Amino acid sequence: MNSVEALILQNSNPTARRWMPENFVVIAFSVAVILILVLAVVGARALTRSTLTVRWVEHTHAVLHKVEQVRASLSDIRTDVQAYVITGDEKYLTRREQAVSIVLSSTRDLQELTTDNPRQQARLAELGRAIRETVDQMTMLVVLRQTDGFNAAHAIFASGSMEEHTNKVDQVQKAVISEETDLLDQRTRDELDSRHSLIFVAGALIALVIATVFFGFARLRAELIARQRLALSCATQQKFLEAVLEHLPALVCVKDPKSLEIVTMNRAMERWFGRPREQLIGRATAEFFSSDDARSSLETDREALAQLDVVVNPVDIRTAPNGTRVTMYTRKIAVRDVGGQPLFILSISDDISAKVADEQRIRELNATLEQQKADLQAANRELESFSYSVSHDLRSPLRAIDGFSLMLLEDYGAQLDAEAHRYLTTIRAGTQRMGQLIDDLLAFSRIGRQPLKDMPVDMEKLAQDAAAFAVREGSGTAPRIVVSSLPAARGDPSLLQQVWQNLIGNAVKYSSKVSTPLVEVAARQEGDEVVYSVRDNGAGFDMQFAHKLFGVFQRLHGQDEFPGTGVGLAIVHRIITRHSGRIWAESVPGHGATFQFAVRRAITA
Amino acid sequence: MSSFQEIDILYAEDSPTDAEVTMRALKKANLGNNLLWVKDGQEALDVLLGRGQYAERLRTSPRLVLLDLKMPKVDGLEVLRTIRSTDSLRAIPVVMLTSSAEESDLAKSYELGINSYIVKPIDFTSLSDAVARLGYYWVAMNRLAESTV
Repeated sequence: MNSVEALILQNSNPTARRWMPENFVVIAFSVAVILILVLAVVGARALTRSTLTVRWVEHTHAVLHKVEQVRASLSDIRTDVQAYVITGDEKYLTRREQAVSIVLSSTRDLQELTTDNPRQQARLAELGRAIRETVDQMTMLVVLRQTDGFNAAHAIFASGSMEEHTNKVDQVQKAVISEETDLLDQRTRDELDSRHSLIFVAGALIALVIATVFFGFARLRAELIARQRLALSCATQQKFLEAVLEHLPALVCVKDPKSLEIVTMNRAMERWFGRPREQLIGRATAEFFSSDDARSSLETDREALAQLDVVVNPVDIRTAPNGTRVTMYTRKIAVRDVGGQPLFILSISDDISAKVADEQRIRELNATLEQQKADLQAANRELESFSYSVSHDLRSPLRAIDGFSLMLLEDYGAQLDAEAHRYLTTIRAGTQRMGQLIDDLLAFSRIGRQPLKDMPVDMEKLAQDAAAFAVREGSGTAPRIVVSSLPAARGDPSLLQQVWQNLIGNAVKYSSKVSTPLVEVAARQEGDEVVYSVRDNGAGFDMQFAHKLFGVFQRLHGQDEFPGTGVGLAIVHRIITRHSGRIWAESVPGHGATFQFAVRRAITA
Repeated sequence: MSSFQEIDILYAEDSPTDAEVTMRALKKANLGNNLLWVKDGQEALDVLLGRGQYAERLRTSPRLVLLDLKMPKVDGLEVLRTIRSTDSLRAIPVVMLTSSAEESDLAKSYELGINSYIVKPIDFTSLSDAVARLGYYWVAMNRLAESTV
């Protein structure tokens, strides 16, 4: 089922492959991590610089301390020397040597402290010289007091050269202090500046990190929601597809391409097997078939795996598990992945047993029909040759009877009496009537056999021709024939001509004995049909015999009353029936008759 | 004349009664002189082609041929076909006599080139009328004969 799901997912959302927001989130968080690293580096560097600054402050303080030490020691020396000059007391000289060594060592210390600063080195060198001069002068003063006494030494004091040295020392000291203080200030300012820019850069970086993380998170969240929705719609779609598959009337079965075991199936297939699908899934269909069926099923499975097209097994006769033989129409196809590897075999079958049985039945019926058609054709041919014989062989003796009767009348008429003449005349009338009957019967049979044309027919013209013909041929009182405007019909013109001739001829014949014979021909449209009518004011007929009107040789009037063979209306009926039309008649004896017939209307352009 | 027989009309008809009635009608219309009646199509062809008993008996072809459509051995249609496919006979007018106006027979007759046809009526009077109409061909053939002499 997994592969099926995969396929459904793949098919239902073909854009999923391109849609990869994971990349975006990965990029966003990578950017954030890089920013944090940059922040750490910047911070570490700032911390390092800060530590240096502290060390520089300490250094400055150390320098200032040393300068102060030198200054204090020098001051001590000078105070002691002054006290000795004034008093001459040796005890003031006891501290001097120690103080001088402090001054000298401190000066060296200072020089070491400021090795990185050439200007300070120069100043310190100058300071060293000034200190040495001062110390030398002090030493000289002590010596002078010891040798030349108070006045000589005091004169030095008074000369002011002492002051001069002291001032110089002070001056240089101040310059050193000032330099160091300036440096300290400068460094403190730099420190402050770098701290500001650090705060700015760090703030910006933090803001960037926050923005990146936030953006990445937003995308991640949107993606999660979209995925949830997709999962929902996929689930719905899958259910829908499963329902469709389940309710398909065809027998559907999905097999594993390797083991040929059933992976899934629908209800129709389950029913056909006659057992729950739990017993079927995971097993090969062949297990449930007869050996022949199993072999053919296996063959089509392999065929399907070997090709890309659908394998169609149009007539697959199988024994159903319930023992009945059924005819299946099976199609199999190997559903493949993108690489062309078969994922599963899809098999769809229809039970066409009923259809095949129907087809067989239709074939049998057709064969029967063909046979009947052949029989009918044979019968028709027989009838045709019979008609021919009738017309040829039956008429020949009739001609002989008539011809020789006439010869008898012509050649021996003088020797025959009136009664013999009447007999011979009756024989001739009888033979002629029989000839007429044969001719009419043949005409009637021809109408049934001749092919029917289907074309628009000008019925008004035909009716008028027939009326003119009837007047010309008719005997007795010439009737008034009124032909109204008649719509065209569809059919065979020569056969419909026959209809008009017979109906109008009849109307003329049966109205010939009234004082003012009238024949009216009219028509009305009824849907796709036209109903034509021929009405006369003649003898009419009794409606209780109406059913006999259209039968062959059926007559409702005596031969002596109105002559005829009784075939004319039978011919009309046959023609109208062949046109899929209807014909009927109404009459009251003594009040004329109305014949109506309905045929298809010609569609006028 | 002696052994040679000049005939104007060759009439092929298998029914003796029909033949008698028709020949009476022809005589009445003055067309019955020099008429030869044969009983089937084969005999008609013997006459026309000078075969068998008719060899050496006819000097000229008949001026008109009347053929019954349906005859034993060789029917009217076959005789007609032979006439129309033989150079010396092709110009002879042929009138077909039929028992009925069955379309297929008539259609074939016209295809093969008949000049006219008569549906043999039962009424002798009608037959006489129809035969009288043959006079048209008779007159036409006489003129042709005169012009060729």
